[in-house]
Amino acid sequence: MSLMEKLDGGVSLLAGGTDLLVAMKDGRLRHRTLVDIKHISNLGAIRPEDAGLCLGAAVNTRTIARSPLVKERFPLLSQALAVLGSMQIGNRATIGGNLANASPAADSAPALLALEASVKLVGPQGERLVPLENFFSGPGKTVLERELLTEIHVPSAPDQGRGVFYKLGPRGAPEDICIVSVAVFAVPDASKRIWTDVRIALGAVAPTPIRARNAEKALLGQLIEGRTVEDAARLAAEKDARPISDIRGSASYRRAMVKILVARALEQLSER
Amino acid sequence: MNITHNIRVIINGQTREISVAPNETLQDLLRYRLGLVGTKSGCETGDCGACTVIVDGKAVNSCLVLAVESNGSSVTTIEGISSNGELHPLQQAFIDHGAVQCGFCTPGMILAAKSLLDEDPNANEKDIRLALAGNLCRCTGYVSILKAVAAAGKTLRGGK
Ligand SMILES: Cc1cc2nc3c(=O)[nH]c(=O)nc-3n(C[C@@H](O)[C@@H](O)[C@H](O)COP(=O)(O)OP(=O)(O)OC[C@H]3O[C@@H](n4cnc5c(N)ncnc54)[C@H](O)[C@@H]3O)c2cc1C
Ligand code: FES
Ligand code: FES
Repeated sequence: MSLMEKLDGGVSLLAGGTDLLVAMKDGRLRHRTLVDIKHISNLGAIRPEDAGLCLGAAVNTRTIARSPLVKERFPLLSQALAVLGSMQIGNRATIGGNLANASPAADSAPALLALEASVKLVGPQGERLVPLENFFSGPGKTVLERELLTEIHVPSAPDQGRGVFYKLGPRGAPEDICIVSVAVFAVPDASKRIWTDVRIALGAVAPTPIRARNAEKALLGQLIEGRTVEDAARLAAEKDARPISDIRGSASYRRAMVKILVARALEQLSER
Repeated sequence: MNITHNIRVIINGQTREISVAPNETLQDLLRYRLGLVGTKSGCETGDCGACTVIVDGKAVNSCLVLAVESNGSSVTTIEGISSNGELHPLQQAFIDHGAVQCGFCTPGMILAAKSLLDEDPNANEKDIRLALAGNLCRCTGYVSILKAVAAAGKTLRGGK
């Protein structure tokens, strides 16, 4: 904990190093003392927690993607992490590092937002549990204050719920940083005619990964049909997404892709 | 500041005690201090896969691993996969299928493929494509590489 007091003052936490080493090599970070957190024992486990999961922050994303427990309980998360970087990157990149690095395009974020995950932050002042939606504060920025992210808690989800993740990258290869990503987790009623709970999360179209609240509201309690899907997809693109133009894509292209991917995800989840 | 760290690491089956600088990557240690230049250096930022080595059974980009982080680990490089003068089935398959042109990507390709086949001997074409997506080749067009890996998988499974 005394080391934690020095975070920012020349001390950085090192997890998989896939962001940190690149930043150090291109000169964005200099002369730091690195503290390797990969061997802190309780950061390295995937545990069932009631019908949910607790993920240690230092577990690498490929291990999580391939975990039978994760595949069984949250195939959505497994699907998203399976395309987080190449095999070599996934073998090093930790889930905690992916969140703490706070890229708007981080591939673990949309699925975890749609699953309403929380993160546990531990620092000299004690520990706190923060909903992931409140964790990101801007591109590369989080609410971490000289704290260690120790665990990601994924609460149990309704049995009938199903999820899907779409990632649009420049080459369609897993190691692409995405242009747009979309995760949707949807729960129909017993008759499978009405949306009773829908959570839509978007990556790379706002300063942080976000929930598409306007689109979600438009679906709640509505019939599962083409018209509601179309309305929601349009709202996600026009009201929820706030994209910028950069080397990976223009703002208008991103909006157009949000509309298509949200519609595609909802259509897939509408199939009985 | 001239801090060094003493690490103990098994490289291609041989235990070595080495003193490393805190900012030295595993790639630099292997290439420039141990002379294991089969581990190539391309982008040095995790994008090309030319520097792939296997650490404790997992393929990683050695350009993004600090040498100190490999303390206590077992590292396999391309120099360490043949045995008793016999090429590894992957090496042989790359030759048989013409999957080597300039050869720059080959060590990384073979080690990525080896870690996949060690993990999942029944890996199918889709698995192979996904596992090699982080290895770039500017020469072959990839088709011969995919064929070579599939053939080596078959050999390793005993012809099935
Ligand atoms: C070639 C390449 C391709 C990539 N492709 C993708 C991709 O397709 N999708 C994607 O989402 N990402 C991609 N990435 C980025 C991805 O590898 C990282 O975001 C990774 O998940 C970060 O985890 P790490 O363990 O490597 O973090 P590190 O680099 O070790 O750390 C990153 C930052 O988070 C901090 N940190 C780490 N762990 C904690 C913790 N537990 N508590 C508090 N702070 C912490 C560190 O201090 C540092 O500031 C790619 C990276 C490369 C190099
Ligand atoms: S040199 Fe390491 S990935 Fe390119
Ligand atoms: S053979 Fe030349 S880069 Fe692959």
